[in-house]
Amino acid sequence: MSDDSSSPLTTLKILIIGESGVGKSSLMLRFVDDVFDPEQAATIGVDFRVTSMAIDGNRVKLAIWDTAGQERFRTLTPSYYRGAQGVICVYDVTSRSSFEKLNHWMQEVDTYCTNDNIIKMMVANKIDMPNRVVTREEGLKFAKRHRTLFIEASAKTKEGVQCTFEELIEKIIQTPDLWDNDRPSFRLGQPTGSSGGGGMCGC
Amino acid sequence: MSKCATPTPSTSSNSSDEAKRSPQPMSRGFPQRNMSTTSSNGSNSPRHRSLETPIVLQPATRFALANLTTTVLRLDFWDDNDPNSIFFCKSTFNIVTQCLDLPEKVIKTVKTHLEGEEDLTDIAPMIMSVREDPVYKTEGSTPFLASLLVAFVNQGNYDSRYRVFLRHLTTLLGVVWTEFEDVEDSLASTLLEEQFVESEHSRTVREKTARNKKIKRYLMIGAAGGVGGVLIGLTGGLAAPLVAASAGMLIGGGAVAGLATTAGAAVLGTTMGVAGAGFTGYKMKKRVGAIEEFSVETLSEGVSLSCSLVVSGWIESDTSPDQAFVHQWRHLRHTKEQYTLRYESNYLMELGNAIEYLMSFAVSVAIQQTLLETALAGLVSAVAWPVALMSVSSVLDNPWNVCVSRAAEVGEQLAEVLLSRSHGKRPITLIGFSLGARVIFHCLLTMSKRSESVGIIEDVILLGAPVTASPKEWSKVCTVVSGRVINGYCETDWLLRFLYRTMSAQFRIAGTGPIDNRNSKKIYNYNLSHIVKGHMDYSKRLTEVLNAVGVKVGPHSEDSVVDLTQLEGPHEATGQAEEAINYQSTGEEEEHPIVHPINLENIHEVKVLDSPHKNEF
Repeated sequence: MSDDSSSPLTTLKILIIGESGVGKSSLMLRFVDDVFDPEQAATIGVDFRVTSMAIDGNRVKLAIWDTAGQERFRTLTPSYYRGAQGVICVYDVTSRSSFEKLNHWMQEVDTYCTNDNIIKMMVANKIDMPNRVVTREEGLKFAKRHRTLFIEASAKTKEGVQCTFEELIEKIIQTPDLWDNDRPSFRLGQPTGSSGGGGMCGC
Repeated sequence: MSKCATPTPSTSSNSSDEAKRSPQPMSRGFPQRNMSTTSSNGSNSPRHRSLETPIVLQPATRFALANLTTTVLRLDFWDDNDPNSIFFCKSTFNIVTQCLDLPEKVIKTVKTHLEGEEDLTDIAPMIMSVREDPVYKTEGSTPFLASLLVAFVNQGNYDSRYRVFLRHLTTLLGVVWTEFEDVEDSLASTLLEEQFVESEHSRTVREKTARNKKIKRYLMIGAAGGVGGVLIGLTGGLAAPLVAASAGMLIGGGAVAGLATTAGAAVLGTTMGVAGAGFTGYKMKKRVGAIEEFSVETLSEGVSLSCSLVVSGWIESDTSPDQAFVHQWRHLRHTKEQYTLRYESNYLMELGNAIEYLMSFAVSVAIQQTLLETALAGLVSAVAWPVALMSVSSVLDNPWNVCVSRAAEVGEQLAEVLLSRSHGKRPITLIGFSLGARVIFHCLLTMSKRSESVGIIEDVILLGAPVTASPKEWSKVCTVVSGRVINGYCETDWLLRFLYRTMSAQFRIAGTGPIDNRNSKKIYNYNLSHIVKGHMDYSKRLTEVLNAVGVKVGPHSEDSVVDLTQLEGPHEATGQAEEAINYQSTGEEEEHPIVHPINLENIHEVKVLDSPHKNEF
């Protein structure tokens, strides 16, 4: 899937964040491999997958970074935010606390993301579950307030997963400032941009 | 190894699932450990019990360590044009990730950084994450490093690049290098002792002698590949590490009473150079060129996982033959195990005498001072040399040229010795001054022509080297050195300039100026002009010089302090070279064959005369 021969338009860095256990990895695996593992182990640090998809006839390469939601990785994950063009913030509709933590995640994005006009998307996962506690309206309201995209999905039933990524990518493509590195305005404004090198090992 | 049995061990799980998931890998992994402990150790149940409660590193910490490893490898070792370095990085990465027991998925992700597909992550959050680990909070980061060390030594070849890698990691993790060296030394003695089933008595003795008992514990932290999801487990007790027989993981892990295995002994033999003749026992089978004398002598007895070899530039006239190659290095404490190269002592003795004669008798202090200043100003050319010096030049030129050509041959011979690994499969650091530096330089040049020569030499320290300063040659040397290549130079070393006076102006000598290191991260230049006033000081003030370039040295012995204060004489003597010349010109003619004490007296007079502002005597 990832080694498509036709040269891609660009490579986009997509970040998946959210509380622990909301289904970030499941969402990514459903999208990339079309599989679902109900016993998905917790992510350690970050998981990285490359895939590509066609949007409006253009092929784009996607580098998807699935971060660990667990508290103990909080110091590690922000270092992966750099240069991301899109961020998918996942919450679990059966867990009120995961929804309430969204504010925190939005703050993380604003603090660590280097692209000012990064495209944000709110994903309400696990809508197949019967014991739903967060309504669609609540989610929509939150998304509106933070000016993010919003979608309801279920990694288990596949519902909304493809849509999540398609909508996000489309929106990024419509914002060329984000991905078109050759545009001089971008380069002059942010010389470090998404290509900033790693920290030097000082020894 | 457990890897195959548990392709994706879910060593971590999110908070809500933790309770129901974590027993899974443990139940898979632990019986193995129990089996190994009980089978090898039926009688020592109290120690054995402590093994069952290992402290496991947080997944976040392991992830962070893997990322740090990647960053260090990528920035300091990876070279796109050198397949050898890529191979090294990948294999090191494999060892480390295996040691950290990360799931396949995570390894893949981290590997994208190593292979340059993705930008490297910031190291600061990684280090912060490591510091948040409970193990770090109680023990510091030494346990992590110790377990990596064990994993590396397990390879049976403690490659010098591993050690350099660990050195970089210790810096990043804020561990003092000497503390890590202690860990190394303990492992070395442990390895040696564990070759035999350790008796209760010897164990208590060893524990008593351990400088830091904590260290003993770290060594037991096994890179426990055969122990399922547990990678770094602290045993708590002071159990003797085990040389276990499981395929990839020979040491550590089930850390119980001694168990010697052939595999363990093999690791030991190759790493420590026990197998075969050993370093000092090396006999020249075929002599290169016309070398008359070549042997390696012990400088300091000891056992260590790394060793150093020093090469002298000449022999001082007042040292006895058996002290000839030891005396100058008597304060060196670079590693526990140090060797010195004895070579061509007849010629080096002659050279030493010639240099001494030239420096202290034939050429007056005044002329030396002038030379020093002109050399400093960069004015020295073939024409400008004083007649006084030219007239006695033959005294030095002859032995010098003999030794220069011999040094190159000795270097080639040394290369053979090092390639034969008679010092063991462990890192070695080479230190040399003057012609000794030339020996080393030629040794490295010879080695750079061979493919199997990487990973042997850790650091190289060349002081006042009479070799070319051509960056091209130096970059060749760098290919065989894992760590640093230090060039200690003295801008005012007129003797070196004088000896190379016939060379064209384009020929620059390493010992008189910095090497162009813009293209090499490995070359470090140290200006030693403030210590070394003349070429002789490389021998006389070697301890200070070594200290200046960052080599560990012991305190001066009483005799040495006295020697050094005497040595202060000529340098403190002259404030203004011009006045000194005026004074000394008469002195020189009258008492040409001066004996040492008289010479000193003269200097005192000079001092009184012209430098009232300096009264340190």
